[in-house]
Amino acid sequence: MYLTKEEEAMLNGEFGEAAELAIKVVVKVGEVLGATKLISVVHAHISGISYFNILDYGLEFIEHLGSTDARFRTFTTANPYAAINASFIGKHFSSEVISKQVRVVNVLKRMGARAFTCTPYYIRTPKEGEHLAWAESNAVLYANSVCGAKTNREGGPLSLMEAIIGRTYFGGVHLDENRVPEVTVTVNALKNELEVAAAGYIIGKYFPTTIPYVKGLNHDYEYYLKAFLAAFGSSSNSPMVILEGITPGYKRLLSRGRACKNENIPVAEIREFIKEHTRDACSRALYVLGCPHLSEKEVHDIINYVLSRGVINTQDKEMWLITSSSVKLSNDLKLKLLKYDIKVYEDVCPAVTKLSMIGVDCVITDSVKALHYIPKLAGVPAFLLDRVSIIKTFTRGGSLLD
Amino acid sequence: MIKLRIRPIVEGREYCSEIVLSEKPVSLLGDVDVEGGIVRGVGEISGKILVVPASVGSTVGSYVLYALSRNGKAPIAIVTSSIDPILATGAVIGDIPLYRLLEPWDKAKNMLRGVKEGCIVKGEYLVVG
Repeated sequence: MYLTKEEEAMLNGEFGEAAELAIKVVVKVGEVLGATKLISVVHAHISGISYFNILDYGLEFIEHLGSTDARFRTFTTANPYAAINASFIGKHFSSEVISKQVRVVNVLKRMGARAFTCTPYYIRTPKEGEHLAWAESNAVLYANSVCGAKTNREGGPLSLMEAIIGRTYFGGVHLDENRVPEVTVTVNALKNELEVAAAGYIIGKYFPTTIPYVKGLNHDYEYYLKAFLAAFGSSSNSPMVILEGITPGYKRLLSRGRACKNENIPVAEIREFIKEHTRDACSRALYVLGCPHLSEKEVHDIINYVLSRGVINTQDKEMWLITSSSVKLSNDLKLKLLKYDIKVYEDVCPAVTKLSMIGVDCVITDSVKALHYIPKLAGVPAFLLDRVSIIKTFTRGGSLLD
Repeated sequence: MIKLRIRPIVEGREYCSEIVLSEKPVSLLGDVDVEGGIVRGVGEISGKILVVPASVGSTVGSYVLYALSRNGKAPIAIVTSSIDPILATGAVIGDIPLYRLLEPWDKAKNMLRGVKEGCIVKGEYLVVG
């Protein structure tokens, strides 16, 4: 691999021990994947920081790097961590789990992490053509497909290394010739965020390694796109979808592609998938909105809708609104929501939290991504319900707005 | 004597050891017992030459190789048909020699079945028998 003088110096340890290890790893992985040089990135985004996933060995590795004088060499954000600060109907996490998660977060903060969120595109929206080193599949898909920026789908520790050197290997979808569709998929007449997300999940299942060109997707709201891409990323390894009318320069990308094969996902198949996974209640149910993290607009839309309706006494259930601390909410507003058994949690992710440890029996969510990951990672079953129905479960109707 | 061609990805020394063959891909996060140095359904791997078709699963998998190494339970080398970024990252941070198998997997698998020991020679061959 060709390296610049500065990169050679990093490899020789002149930029410290962490940078030496980091560039060694990135060069090696790049070489394995056929890259011939490194490229600077304007934003790195790190995944794999939940203590429940990385356990003591991940903690030890991150602390080892952080024990040197390593600092991130580019604008860096990280995924949300386990919701160790959360409580569910009076039950909390043990102090051991809390302190170990806090240690991971503190090292990353010391190295320069600016935010903990799975929606880094709300923290710094990438510009068309920018090179990024992002892990976290929904963010990678959003950057490539909605913003027109360029990032591969990086792994956990690899993204950490790339943040330390401010570079990634020049390969995959950093190269224009790899940003081409291989199949055309049409999805028509989808009516809400659940249907849009389910369509993404089904398309990902059919095409787990190819970049599809998707036509006809309902994108009345920005969060429909987010839900679609997050669900697609749960069932596919592809870092990009080319979206009709949305992906910057999609016509140009199409002209280079091989998307001659046409597929249609019938609405009936999408509705059947949703029906199969829908449930509106279980004992000790946790209702989750915010996978991926809610945008500022979504948070305020949800809160306004909730507050326009009356309080009902729920007792055996809670709703969590999950977002990033970049969304500013007053304590007064949070207290009002508590009367509805609705809590706002920032910078965390319930899907990477062992929810079984705090007595959650099931999760009910409008996120197909959460439906996919919660049973695997959080240790409880998950079901689907659309956003409006979830809110109605916690509020009394009959107001002028209902 | 059988010589299987390999290419070094993460280089190591020359050595001989027991061979552990996993006929199916290994999910690093899930199939590996870090404390015991065991791949579930395959057996003990610590200090041995692990031969696998591929690794699969979560991006957290890299940390599992690192953990094996820190616990002193890592294989002495990994020989695999398919190198992905997660495996490569784990081998580098865990300092575990990693080789790409240049022979077709089915051929190698058939030759290695029942084989007890092998040697990595010059980083170019896995020699058995």
